[in-house]
Amino acid sequence: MIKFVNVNKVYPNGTSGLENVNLSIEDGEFVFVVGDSGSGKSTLVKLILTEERHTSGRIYVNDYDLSRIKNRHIPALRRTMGVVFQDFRLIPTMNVYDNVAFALRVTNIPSREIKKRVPYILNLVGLEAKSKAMPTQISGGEQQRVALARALANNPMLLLADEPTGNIDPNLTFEIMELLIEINHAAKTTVLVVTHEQDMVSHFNKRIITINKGRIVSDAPAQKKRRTGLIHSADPAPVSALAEPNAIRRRTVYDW
Amino acid sequence: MTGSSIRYLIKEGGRSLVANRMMSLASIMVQMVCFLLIGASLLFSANIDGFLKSVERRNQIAVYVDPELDDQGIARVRNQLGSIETVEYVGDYVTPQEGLESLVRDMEGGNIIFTDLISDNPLPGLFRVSISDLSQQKQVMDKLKRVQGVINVRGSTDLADTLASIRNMVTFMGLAVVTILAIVSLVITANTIKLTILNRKREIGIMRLVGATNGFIRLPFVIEGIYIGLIAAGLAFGLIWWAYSYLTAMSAEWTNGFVKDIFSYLIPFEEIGWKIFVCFAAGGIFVSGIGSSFFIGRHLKV
Ligand SMILES: Nc1ncnc2c1ncn2[C@@H]1O[C@H](COP(=O)(O)OP(=O)(O)O)[C@@H](O)[C@H]1O
Ligand SMILES: [Mg+2]
Repeated sequence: MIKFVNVNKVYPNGTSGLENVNLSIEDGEFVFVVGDSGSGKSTLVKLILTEERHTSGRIYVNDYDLSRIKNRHIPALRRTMGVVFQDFRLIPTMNVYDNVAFALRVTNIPSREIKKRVPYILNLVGLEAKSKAMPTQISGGEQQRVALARALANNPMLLLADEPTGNIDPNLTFEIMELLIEINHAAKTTVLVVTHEQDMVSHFNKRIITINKGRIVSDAPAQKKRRTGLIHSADPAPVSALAEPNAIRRRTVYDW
Repeated sequence: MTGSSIRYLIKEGGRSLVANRMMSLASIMVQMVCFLLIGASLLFSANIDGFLKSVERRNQIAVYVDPELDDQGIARVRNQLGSIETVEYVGDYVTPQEGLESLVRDMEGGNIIFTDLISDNPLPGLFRVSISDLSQQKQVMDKLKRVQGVINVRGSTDLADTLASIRNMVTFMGLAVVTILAIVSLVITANTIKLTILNRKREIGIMRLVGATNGFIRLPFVIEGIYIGLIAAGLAFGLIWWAYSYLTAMSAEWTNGFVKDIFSYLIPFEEIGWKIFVCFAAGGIFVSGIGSSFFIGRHLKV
């Protein structure tokens, strides 16, 4: 669940990132956020992630009140979500396997479970063969799938994707989007996808929030009709497996 | 912390060390050179100190004993001399006869037979006493004089004062050099660590964003820092050991005369090595470990 109430973000240099934003996203929803470059989309993601802090207003994310959250609770908040960035943000000195495992290790899950979970997730994104590869040794599309695997590793309530297709082969755009939609369907994960490709999102029958110059200018709900045949996952089965009972559930946070 | 997380930390510290091998190597080299400089100056000042001490030991005080005393009385005097503070060593009793012999031996062309001719030996028996702190010579001599059975005390206070002040100065200078080197090393090492961590600022940011706590991020860095410090300390220790042993061995073979005399004062490495080892190991752990922990702190704000 995400709720913004009269949120403003002014960066330290005086630039306005967001102005008087109000929005509410329920658990299990799939939402596109679109807008031109510089309109404030990434700012929105950063505020949800508390990578940046809002200047005024109130933000609630997965039962946390971000206006009041204590620094030491921020790691716990972040573990309730998975994030995919445009620039992947993989840890360059860790191989594919360790990058994904890292998101689990921070939650102090026993290594026994990590050893089961990581190959399973890598299999879902089709990268089990590359688990020993370093991030620099694989393509942009593959790196983005590693980032996705990392985001999904501890079965988050919320998946944030900031321009997930911005740095990869345009042919793969629909494939990645389809994957995100399947994750939303199968695991009931709330998914928020940020993109500047307004044409692309209109192919999907999803709620679309449009931002312009830091303000929400439209919030169009999904049509009630079925998804068009345009998008078709080649094999949705593995992704549906995300919902399997074996998958690691969120657990009590262990702080060091 | 569970067993598996400790295992993870130890492994992760090592993995990160290897993954960032260029930076690790640079840090190890910098720290090693610092350790080498400190170790060399420690050895140098310890040896100078040892040399001066041995010179000081040659500065003995002669304590003359009442010739009327029997063996028991002589033993009592010896005990009392030894119990005086700062008296380091009391030699065996020198009988009047032995005293005379050594006196004659010291005179050029002296002949042992000559002593037989002296029927009336004018010398009293004596103890040779050395003290640990030459600056106290005057006071100690007064104390020695007050021991019952002692009739006279002789020693050179001028020489003692000079030696004492030289040693004080050398000790002070050694300490100053080591302290300065330690501070310089600390600054250099701190900067290397700072650079290492700055280099990985992005990595630390990513860790934060996937929900790692500060402790979880910090600990592997600290452990990596400790590894680096210990490797540098180990290498420096090995090098110093090797070089010093080489110097000791060489001095025995190649030198003679005055130079040999000086080198013969070299403290054996076995005697001083463990001090250097402890100093290095502690330095390696604390400087690197705490330094890493400190410098990573400022990147953990996001
Ligand atoms: N760290 C920052 N400091 C100052 N201004 C920033 C910062 N990040 C973003 N901005 C500004 O905030 C506005 C919104 O940026 P952003 O959210 O990144 O837009 P988008 O992701 O939609 O391209 C832009 O005007 C941008 O220049
Ligand atoms: Mg952006």
